[in-house]
Amino acid sequence: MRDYVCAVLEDEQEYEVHEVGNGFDALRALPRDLYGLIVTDINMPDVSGIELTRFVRQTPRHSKTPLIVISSEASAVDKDRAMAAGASAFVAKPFTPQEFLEAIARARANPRPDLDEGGDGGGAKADGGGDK
Amino acid sequence: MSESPEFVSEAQEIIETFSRQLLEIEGQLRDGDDYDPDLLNGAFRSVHTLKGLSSLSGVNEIVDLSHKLENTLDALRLGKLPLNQSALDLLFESVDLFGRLLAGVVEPDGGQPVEVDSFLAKLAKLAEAPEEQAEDALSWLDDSILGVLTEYEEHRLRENVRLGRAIYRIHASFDLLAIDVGIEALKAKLKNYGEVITYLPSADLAADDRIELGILMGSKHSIPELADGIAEEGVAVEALATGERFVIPAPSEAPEPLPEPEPEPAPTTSSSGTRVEAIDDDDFPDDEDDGSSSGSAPDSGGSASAPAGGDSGGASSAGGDGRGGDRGGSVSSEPPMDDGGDQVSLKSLSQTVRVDLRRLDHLMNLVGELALVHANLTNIGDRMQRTQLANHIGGLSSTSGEHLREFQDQLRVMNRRLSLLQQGILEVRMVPLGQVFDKLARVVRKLGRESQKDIRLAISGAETELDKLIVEELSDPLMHMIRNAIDHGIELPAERVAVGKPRAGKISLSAFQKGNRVVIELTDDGRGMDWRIIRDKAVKRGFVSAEESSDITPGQAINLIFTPGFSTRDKATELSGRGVGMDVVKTNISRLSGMIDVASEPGRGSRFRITLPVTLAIIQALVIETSGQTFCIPLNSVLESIMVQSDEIQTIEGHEVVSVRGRTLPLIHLSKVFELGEENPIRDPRSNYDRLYVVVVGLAQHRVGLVVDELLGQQDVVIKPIGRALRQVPGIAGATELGDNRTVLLLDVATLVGEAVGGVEAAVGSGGGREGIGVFSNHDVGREKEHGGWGDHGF
Repeated sequence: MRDYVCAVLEDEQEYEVHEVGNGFDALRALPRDLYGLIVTDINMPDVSGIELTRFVRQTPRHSKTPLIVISSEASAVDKDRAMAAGASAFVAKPFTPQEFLEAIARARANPRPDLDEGGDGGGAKADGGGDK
Repeated sequence: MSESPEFVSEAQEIIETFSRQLLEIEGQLRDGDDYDPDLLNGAFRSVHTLKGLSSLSGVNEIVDLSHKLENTLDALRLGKLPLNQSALDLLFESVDLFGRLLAGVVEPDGGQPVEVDSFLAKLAKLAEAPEEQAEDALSWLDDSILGVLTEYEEHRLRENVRLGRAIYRIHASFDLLAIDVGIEALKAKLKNYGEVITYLPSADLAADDRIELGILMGSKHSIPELADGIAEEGVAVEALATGERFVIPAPSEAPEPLPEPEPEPAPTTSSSGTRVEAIDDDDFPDDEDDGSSSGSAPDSGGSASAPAGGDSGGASSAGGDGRGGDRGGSVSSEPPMDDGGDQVSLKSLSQTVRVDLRRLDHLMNLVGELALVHANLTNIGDRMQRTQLANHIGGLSSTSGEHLREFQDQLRVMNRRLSLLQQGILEVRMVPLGQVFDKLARVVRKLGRESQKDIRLAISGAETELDKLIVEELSDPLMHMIRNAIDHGIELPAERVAVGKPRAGKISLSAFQKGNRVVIELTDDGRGMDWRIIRDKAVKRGFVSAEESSDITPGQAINLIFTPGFSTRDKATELSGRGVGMDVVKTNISRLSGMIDVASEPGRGSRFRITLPVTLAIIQALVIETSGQTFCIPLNSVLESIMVQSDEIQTIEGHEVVSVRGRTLPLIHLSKVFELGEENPIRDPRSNYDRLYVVVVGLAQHRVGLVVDELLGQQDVVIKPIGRALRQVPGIAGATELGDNRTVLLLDVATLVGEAVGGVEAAVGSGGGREGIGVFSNHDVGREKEHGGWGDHGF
């Protein structure tokens, strides 16, 4: 899955992808570096995607970074909680590259759908940086 | 179909892992009402991986089945379905179904199509009956916590509450750079105290380089116990229901805060600071139970508001920490918990390469040929040395002598390397017996249920290694013996209780290495075999005459079960008793150059013991000569070699026998079997009789003496298959080359013995000593004593 996501992102040639192996590595990387897009699976050992999302949103520099949560099952509970924690978009597997790219576009257009009703569209500030 | 063998073997491996996980879950559920959730996750991942694998290979039936099964497992994992016996039964059924589907992939034309629909219907029915969830079980929990849990984590939280554990939040803070080390250390400690449900990270706004972690865990231990176990400065434990908190003080200033039952290693100092906080529920019915305080005295550690142990108790369920419990020796360690499985789905489960055995045989042959080249080189070296000596009487010429010595040194080095190489290839062929034992565990379970008998299987020595070929050939005989033990041996529960035995029957399967042999023992504590009944049955079937039977020993009688066509039950049952049992087992074991013994005592049970060589690819052989021809005899079937005089040989009903230490030994002349012409016996000048060498070989429970002209010595030989022309010749197992470039035939002792004893044995029974059909084996007697109580079966 990770390879798949990375391949899609790299094909776009817009992102330089930075992979980490688990939730703890993500915790270490996130406060230090600046990312243009964060992608996480929901079911990770130890720190889940929802908890990671909550953590990311507490970090000032990442409060508005587009963040996509991927899940292997379309669990409504998981989706609601991920979005409530501050995810920008939620994608359930299986998905096509096209669906994934659409989710990225949505996430960049509105990184925090949980905060606003109108959607101020103020996202898309950093394209270059690495990605999770 | 074009499925690669890699697919089949990899799928098989996954299915075996899956089955092992199920067995382990069942075992844990039997011992308490709790099981290790990681096992269920593992089973879920196994099926998920199988789905990915089979969809890559286009095996749609397996894709379909594993997909449906995956959904069921996911529901079980999330607690949407109860994991009860009927669910487990269904999961076990799927293991068999996968096996049959896989067999269909290997042989698309063989057998009937596998019927999956009825299974899928049962699976669907299972999903229709979801468990009632007590929804308010977590009403006391802060929404900010519940809100960030995944569905799975929430289920585990509920499960912990259901099991009467207290829920704690442990506060710890970690240096960002050292977070891996710090968390792993803490995790390892917490594991001993309960289940870590999840980690709730939060950025420490005060310090850029630190992370605050809230660790949610369920535990039946009290706050002081938990704090004591963690023993890290700054860690706080909070009981979530009551809000009680306990901050672990710095070790230096702590005035003996708590008694320490298990002293922990020193905390990893300043890189981590940790607190523990308790989440508990006041509404727990068993809250008053302060059993948990018994372990640790009231702490009153000066620094914090530690509560008395009981409050956070909930220490009611005996099986609370079932995961620590009773795992068999054969349990493989679980891979670390992973995500939904997609990251691993395309990778192999293990770091192994599968190799066709034939390739290894090929390598082995090459090594054998290299050894021959080496022998020839040595030969040349020796000749050169002789020439040197002849040409330079009075001393070698210094340079060429030097070269010769170097050459011979190198030859010796080569020899050592060659034997290492050979050893290495042999080791590659070795696989643990656990591969077979796992399959047998499944059979025991299935048959036990079908026959309504409660059966416990104890396995030991699953790590014992044997040649792959032997392990494969062993599964059928062992399966048969297990069926017999369940069908004939173990009694029905009521019957067992009536005779004062535990309700559950016990079958134990153990293996151990002894020298260059492996011994496998199968023991049951069932009704055993009555040798008198076996004797009478044998008389009725005409295997033994009435007068012979009058003075047959118990040991001999019991061994009559190996006679072809023998069956102690008059009616064949579903499980066994079709009369094709033990003689087939014996034949299979003999073919592997193995031996089988049986001992039994009515009312106490039976024990079968199989002794096998570790490998068949390279063997030690006894090189013999008869009528001018050289043969090799596998040394593992040679018991001894003796010399007899021709006047000691008696003829009983046309068969030659000789008495050895009171036992009658049938003789076979190799020269007659292979029609080689006259033997060349040595005439003993003193007695004027011929002296004959007799090699005593034993296989299974039979012994035969092979009459030969000469014993040439022992040697390691690599066995090579023989061509089509010779393959039809009975009594020849293969060919090998001796060091001097001679091709020599290897005798197939099993066939020789088999052909011989048919005729000879009857004659021996009526004529000479009774021991002719007794149990023959070369087991040492000392070991038997440990077991005791098996009666005089004369191993």
